[in-house]
Amino acid sequence: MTINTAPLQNLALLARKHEVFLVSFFLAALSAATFLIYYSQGLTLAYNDARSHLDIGRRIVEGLKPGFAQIGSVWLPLPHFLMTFTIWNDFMWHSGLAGSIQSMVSFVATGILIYLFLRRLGVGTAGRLAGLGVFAFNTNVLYLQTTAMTELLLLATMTAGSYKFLAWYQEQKLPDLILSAFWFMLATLIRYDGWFLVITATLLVAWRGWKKGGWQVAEGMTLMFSSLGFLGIALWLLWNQLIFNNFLYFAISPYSAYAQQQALLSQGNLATKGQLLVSFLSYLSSLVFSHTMVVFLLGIAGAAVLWLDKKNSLHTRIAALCLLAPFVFNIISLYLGQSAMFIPGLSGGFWFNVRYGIMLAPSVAIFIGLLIDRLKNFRPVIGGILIFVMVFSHLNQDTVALEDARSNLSYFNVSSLSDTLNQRASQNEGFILLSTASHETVIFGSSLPMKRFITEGTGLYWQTAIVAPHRLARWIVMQTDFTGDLVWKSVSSRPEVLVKYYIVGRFPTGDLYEIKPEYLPQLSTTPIYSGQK
Amino acid sequence: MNKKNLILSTQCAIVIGLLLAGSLRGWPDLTTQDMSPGSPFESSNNNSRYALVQAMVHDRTFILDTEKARFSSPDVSKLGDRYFSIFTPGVSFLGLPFYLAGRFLGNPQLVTYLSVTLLALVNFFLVVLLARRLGATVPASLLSGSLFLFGSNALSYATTFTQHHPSTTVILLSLLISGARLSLWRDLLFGLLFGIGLLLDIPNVFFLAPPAVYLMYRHFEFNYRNPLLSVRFNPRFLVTFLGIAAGILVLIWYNLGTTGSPFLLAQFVGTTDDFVFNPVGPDPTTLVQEESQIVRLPLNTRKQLNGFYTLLVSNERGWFYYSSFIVFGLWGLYEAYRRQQSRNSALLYISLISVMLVIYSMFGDPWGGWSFGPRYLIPATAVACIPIGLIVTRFRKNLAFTILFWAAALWSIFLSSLGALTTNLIPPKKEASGLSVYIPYTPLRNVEMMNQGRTSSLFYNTFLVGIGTLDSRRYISIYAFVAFSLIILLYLSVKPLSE
Repeated sequence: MTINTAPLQNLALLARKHEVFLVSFFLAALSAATFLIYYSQGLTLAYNDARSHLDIGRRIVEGLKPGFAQIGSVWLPLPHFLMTFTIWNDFMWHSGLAGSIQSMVSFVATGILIYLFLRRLGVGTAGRLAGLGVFAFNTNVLYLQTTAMTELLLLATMTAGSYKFLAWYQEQKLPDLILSAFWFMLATLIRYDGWFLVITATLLVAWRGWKKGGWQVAEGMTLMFSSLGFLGIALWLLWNQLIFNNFLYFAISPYSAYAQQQALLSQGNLATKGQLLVSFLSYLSSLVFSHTMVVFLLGIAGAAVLWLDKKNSLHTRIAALCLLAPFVFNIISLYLGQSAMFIPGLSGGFWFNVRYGIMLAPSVAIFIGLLIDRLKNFRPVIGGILIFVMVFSHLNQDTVALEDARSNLSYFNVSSLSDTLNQRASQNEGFILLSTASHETVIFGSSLPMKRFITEGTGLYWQTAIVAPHRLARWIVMQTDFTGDLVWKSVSSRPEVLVKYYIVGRFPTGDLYEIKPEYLPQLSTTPIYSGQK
Repeated sequence: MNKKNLILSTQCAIVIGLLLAGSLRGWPDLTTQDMSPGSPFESSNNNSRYALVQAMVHDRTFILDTEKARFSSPDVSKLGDRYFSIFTPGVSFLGLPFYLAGRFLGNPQLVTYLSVTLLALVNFFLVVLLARRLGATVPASLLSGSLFLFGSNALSYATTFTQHHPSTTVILLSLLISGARLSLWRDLLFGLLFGIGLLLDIPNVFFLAPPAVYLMYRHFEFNYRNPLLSVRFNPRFLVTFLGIAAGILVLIWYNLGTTGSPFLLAQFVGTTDDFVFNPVGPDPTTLVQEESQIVRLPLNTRKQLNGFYTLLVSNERGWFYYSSFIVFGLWGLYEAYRRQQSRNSALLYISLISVMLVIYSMFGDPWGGWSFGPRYLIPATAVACIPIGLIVTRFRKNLAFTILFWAAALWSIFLSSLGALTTNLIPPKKEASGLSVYIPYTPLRNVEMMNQGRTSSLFYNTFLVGIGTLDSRRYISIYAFVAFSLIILLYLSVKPLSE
């Protein structure tokens, strides 16, 4: 049989010409299809944190005291800021789409960037497509890109920064360095992983400058890169100082991750703190479970090819160190007790934060793409095994990030409480007092407007309600006898206040109180501090 | 073959024959009811297949009566009121003529099991042949084959009635054929091997895929002259499917006789707990709920971490633990890959080993139940042994290499002799910890048996018990010493590359 390949060659040329568009189209279709599947199963909002992120975004545009001050101090601001464009719409808020959209766009962007990164490394079409496939068909990545979590947005900015960083390292064009700093700066405003990445990148810039022209060049380049790269961090510190009177409020406040980890530590549930080996093994396990063992091992082989193959220039190999920054960061973070991770059988009895393993998903994809490109003879073997393993990971629904979302610490089932609240409050006027630190998910679950809730961020409403709830709060959600609940802590010290309420119901995650009818006349049910800033 | 090599090969064959005979299992007064450790009937994966042979001969059916089903338990399925072996029937079909001959000779068990022992010997020769194809000298090839047989748990399973050696034979033959000159008969034979592989064990389908793809690829001829691509396919390859179809038809016939459905395998029916003492199962109501929510497949990517650990490095079943010399085999594969003339073969071997490792790492039970060493990896061990001769030829003069190689060989041979001459019944760690009477989950179990003066060797139990001071411990030591001496002799016979 003789085939005239000319039409195929033309088609290939055309595809190559529009490869980025084709890749984008494929990723967008995959992203949308996956979203529809998980959304139809009600799983896009399985994480507590996803609902909390959406609430924060919503509070910026709607509530008793809307505005950017609602961004708060614990989570970095960019994801919530980006939500403001769509979250004013009730459907976008309650469907979670306001957050999912940025994850989905980030998924598409990261896929494209992996493809481009591999092209820059001189990888051929087969390797590029393989790398893209490894990333795009990762069950955990696919699930997380349907949620309002921040991981995918971070991956997109980190990969964009790393891509431009590689370009600068290879070609020494200033715009690449500036763009790299810009993307890294955005990453620093999404998750704290970005902070470590920008520090790593700065050191690599200094090294490159020093090698190029000695101390003076290094100084100049580092200053230029870091002035933009660290801008986000500087602004965040300033924000904390201006709003909370402490530059480091995000790190030391009672709501900080560190404070939460201290609570786990006091319960003896922070096995990684001070234990380097346990921290290392925990993160290694999360990588394995987030990618499957075979993909992880191939990723290691690909990394070895990247750094050992002399075909890759020294500059390329050094610039690619950025790809490993999340690995080092997560181990340090676990070791210092700044983050917690439970891996059944290793540290804890259930999954918690195991999704952090996907922080290396673009890196693993790039390594495997490179591996497939360099080991041409092994392509059928590696390709066949990859397809086999990935098909089975889908058939088995091996999505550890989803199991994490539905396990103890990541998921509180508040539906009974929030449904009862909705039944009571949707038909009657009045505010609801609760602490977001303890009951954020109730707000989301109740489907009530944000302006019905008096929370820590509502200024005078909160200050008044916490002292005299019967003036403003028709309902109180709090965990009786739990001093960690700020509302209970305050109200329980005033027995004369508590008697004005009766318990509507006790629920696993908190109790619902309602004001007794005789006190209704004293209650304000409309905003009274509309002018506050 | 020159005279020197002929003498060496003959000596080697005699020693191997004697060693294999010395490891045959049993004792003079053996009955089929004796399922104690060390007995040929110690494990249900022997018994279930043996019971099927008996059913075919005595009852002319694939269905097991209650007595045979009890004997096969827990590796027995039940559908309606019919019991049948959970395994595919290939091994039992293979044992059928041997059983008939055994009846004639007065010891059906011994002769039936001998079918697998003979295939172990065939596997030795196939490894030798493949090593020769790879470019190794005769002594180096004999070294490869001997290490496979005496340095791994292949020895322990050479005296059982299980699928491991027959599957290994099929896989090695398929490698041989896929790399040989193309012919109609070879294509047909390959197809038949594929069909037989299917009858022996379902995962063989995956393991035979790499040589099948390679063989098919060889039937294509590509010629590219821009922009014309001419593709020629030799349709002779299609006869391969005839062979495969034959195997499938036999399996359909067997399924119709057991499950009643042509494509329903006994494995998918599952085991029956009719013969399990005090079965403890989950609450049926919760089971129904779980079944509806969870997809259950025999291969699961979530199991890979544990699977790789168990199969590669653990002291329960680790490949490198039980057969440490495998490291040299993998190194040899790299060596073979570097050589242009053996590159394709090396790639094929690497694919095969990778596929086996990946599949069994995803398998829910990488331990293979109560067993000795990584029994599922016996075919992979055979393949990994093929290039050992190459690496030994290259580094034979290097003292450090020699010391390490000998040390690894000594350790591996000692362990495999221990397993072959005591028992294959070693529990996985998770089961050992739950036993009322503790049983070690490592080869310490075999050491315990040895120290108790017990051996599974039929030869020892029949002819040597009570002779002088030759207790079982000494017998096992002498056995391992002879096997190790064989390896050393062959190692020293390998001519270094410079010569």
